[in-house]
Amino acid sequence: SSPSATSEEETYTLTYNITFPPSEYDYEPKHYAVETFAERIEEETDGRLEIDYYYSNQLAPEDQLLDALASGTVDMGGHGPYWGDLVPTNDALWLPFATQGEEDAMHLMRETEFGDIFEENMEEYGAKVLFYWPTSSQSLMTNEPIRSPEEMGDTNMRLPTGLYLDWFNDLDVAPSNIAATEMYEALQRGMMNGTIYPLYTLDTHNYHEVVDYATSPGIVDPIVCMTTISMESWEQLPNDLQETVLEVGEEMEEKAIEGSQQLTEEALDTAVEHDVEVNELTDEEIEAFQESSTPLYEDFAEINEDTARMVEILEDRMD
Amino acid sequence: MYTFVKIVRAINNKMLWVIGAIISLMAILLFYDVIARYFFNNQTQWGFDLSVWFTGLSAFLAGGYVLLHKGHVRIDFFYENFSERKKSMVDLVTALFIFLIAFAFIIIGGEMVLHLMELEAVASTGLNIFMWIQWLMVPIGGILLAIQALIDVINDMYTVFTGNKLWEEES
Amino acid sequence: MDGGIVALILFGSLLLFMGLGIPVAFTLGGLSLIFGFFFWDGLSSVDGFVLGSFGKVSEFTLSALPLYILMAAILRYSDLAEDMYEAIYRWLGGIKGGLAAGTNVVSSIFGSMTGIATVATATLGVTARPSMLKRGYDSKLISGTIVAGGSLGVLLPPSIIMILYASEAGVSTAALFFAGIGPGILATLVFMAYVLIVCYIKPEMGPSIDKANRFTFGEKLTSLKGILLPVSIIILVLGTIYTGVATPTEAASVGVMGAVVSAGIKKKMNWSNIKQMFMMTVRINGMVFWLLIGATAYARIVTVSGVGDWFAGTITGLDVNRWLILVGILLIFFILGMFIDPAGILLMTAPLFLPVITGLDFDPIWFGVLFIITMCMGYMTPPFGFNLFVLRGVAPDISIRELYVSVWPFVGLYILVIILVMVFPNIALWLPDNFMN
Ligand code: NA
Ligand code: NA
Repeated sequence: SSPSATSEEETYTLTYNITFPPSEYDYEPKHYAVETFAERIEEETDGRLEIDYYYSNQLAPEDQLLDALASGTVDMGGHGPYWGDLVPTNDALWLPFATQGEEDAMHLMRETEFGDIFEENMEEYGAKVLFYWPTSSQSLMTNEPIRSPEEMGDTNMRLPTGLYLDWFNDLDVAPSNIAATEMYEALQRGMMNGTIYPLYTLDTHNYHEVVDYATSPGIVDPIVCMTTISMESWEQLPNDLQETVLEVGEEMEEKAIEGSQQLTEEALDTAVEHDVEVNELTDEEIEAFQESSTPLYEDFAEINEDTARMVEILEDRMD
Repeated sequence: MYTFVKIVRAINNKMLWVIGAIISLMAILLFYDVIARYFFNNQTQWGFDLSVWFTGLSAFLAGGYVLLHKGHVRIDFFYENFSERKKSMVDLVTALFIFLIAFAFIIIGGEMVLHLMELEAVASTGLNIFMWIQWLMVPIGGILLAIQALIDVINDMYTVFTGNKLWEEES
Repeated sequence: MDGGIVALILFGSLLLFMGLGIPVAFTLGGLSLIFGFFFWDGLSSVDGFVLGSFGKVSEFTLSALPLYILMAAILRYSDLAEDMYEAIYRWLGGIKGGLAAGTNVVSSIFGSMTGIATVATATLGVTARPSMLKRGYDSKLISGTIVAGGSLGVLLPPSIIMILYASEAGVSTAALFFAGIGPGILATLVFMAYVLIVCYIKPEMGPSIDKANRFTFGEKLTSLKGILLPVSIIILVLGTIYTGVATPTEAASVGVMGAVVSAGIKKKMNWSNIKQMFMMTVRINGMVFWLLIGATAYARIVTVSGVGDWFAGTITGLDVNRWLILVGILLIFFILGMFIDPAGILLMTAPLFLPVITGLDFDPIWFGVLFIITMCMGYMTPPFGFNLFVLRGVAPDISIRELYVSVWPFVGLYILVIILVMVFPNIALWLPDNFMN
């Protein structure tokens, strides 16, 4: 952040690095979290706080964004819960079938200790969560129908996060580690049988061209994206600006929830339009997937006190 | 001083074999992965991470070697007509730029290594090694580049004052 | 500060220090650190420089770079490349400029093997150039042919820049890939026509074998033996990619293995050859990566400084004919391409230009192809032309002056291709329109 002028009417400019490409539709959660957010902030602060946003990792590579936030190189970030390697609690948001839909996930993050633990760990590393923007779900998109964990066996899928490695091994899924930029072609040419990837990419990234089946809800429902601010930059902001940022953030969070639901609906429409068969998983099928991933929950709980507590909270909610 | 010059040149020259071996290993490893996936539906879990790391090593460790052999491309249509003394003056400015870059890599890269050591962070995507090991190439690359630039500065200073070279560099 | 002044400072200082003769990679890196301090939050921009550099060299798709350079080095020092050129020469040697025309074809084949522009340039610089020089071809014509042909790597699928564009514009990657094929082939044909015509008019630039020394049919047939191994490597790599055995990046390793086996068959894998291969690989790879590190950092500073916004603002607000706006946008891409890396230009300007393009009812796939062709030029236009530097690194005996001069005819040819694609959109759109669903 770079404060200029001298009086108490100091103006601030924050750089905001988003890990995703620009939105295609105005209703996308990302659109609220970036463009609408920046506009609203400027409005509410009478231009005292300006936000310069950059899509597609233009300021820092995705893997290094959290460190860039922690060092204050980039003021704000718009991203998913990556960096489980650096902050283990981040991976909690990738646990399979831990939440059911936007409302449920936002309740978990906002009303339970789970969210507090998540945010405390991020803050300890140097980034403060301002607001969340759930973004559709992480679907199992494949070129053969899959309704059960058993049917995942003997396939070859892109490994979406290191967290799933043991789970994939248990299910006899061969994990392919390939660059995201090469995934479309790999699916097109049948190099992989499938991928666990955001449902909306059927529409926005034209993945309907390269997969035949998708599950709904996805393995992670919803994907919880968030807008964070470097602790260093946060502390430089005067109290009234901090308050405005949080208020506007809350506003965007509400809009993002609706946007996320619409994004999923549009993706499902796209699927129907282009003959991608959507497996609407039944409760029993979901339960079977959940059960198959139990060892993964156990491994995650063993990392530290915080991850153990997070799993405990999730288990309490499931009962 | 000559000993120091000799040692630096020897270290950077040795990088030829280190990096050559790294790139060859990477070729074998990726090839193995392709075969293992196609025929046995079972590629290695560490192949991807290792390739990424090796690619980084092949880049960072080579800065000094390429500098030693004058392989960093320059626009020389004025430079080629400069006198030896003038060329050395330009090369001293080059050294300033190099030190700026190398120090950034040594200091910030070094800080990252220490930070990741303290965190005991392990890359979880397959190659489960400490992340600080992967980052080590950044400060080391910076050091290899900086020491090479340093001995070039010695040579260039000599040229600026005397018009001659202390030793000739083969390109 | 006014965007125009910032652009002047950024690009002016780049020109100044590069012109002085400071190596390009260090000019880019050093200026990024200095300007980062002023345009991007003081010392914390140094963290950005280091994190960005680590991130850049950790991109998996860049693994193809050292591997293909190694492959080229093996082909060169085992004389496999020379064998291939000897065969081309025996068959096409009777035609003035025949070898250059053959190189146009070879470069588009290499362009189809990888997604980046650097690989074909490095490979052909290592292999085609010595073979053509040996047979009396004009050095400038050779350089232009190789640099222009190398850039086709991003126009012919696969292409990393196309994948980036598709994701920015929300269009289908496959459609864009298909759309690149027509213009890519057209560009190859235009280049071939050009070299043949030029050499017909000035035979000293690409001499043919005089009638008395023409090869007999028998000699031509024997030479095909030399083409067998290199062609098998190419088929192996392309086959690996298009049958879905491996990604284009992984396929580079197949190319290396093919080259090692072929060199082994020729009994050329001896210790002194291996050392030569390594020396070439490590040097070129190191040079290219440090250039990439500098270029990425520099593009980031240009992004943060708001120069892209300023350029976009000068054109998108104009109330003129939509075709003029389109040409204006392409002109801006061309100017930026003289200074910055294409991926940086794309990410910086896409959010600004894409809404304008769709608002004016232009097809985003077709526009994407025009953008990519403009970027092909960006790889070769002075003062910052990535492929120029790669060729220079591969062949230090060429002067930069010569390189800077050699590309202009080919820039003109690329502009011709752009005009053709603008006037006849079907050159790009026919394939995707007919083969997608
Ligand atoms: Na290509
Ligand atoms: Na250029």
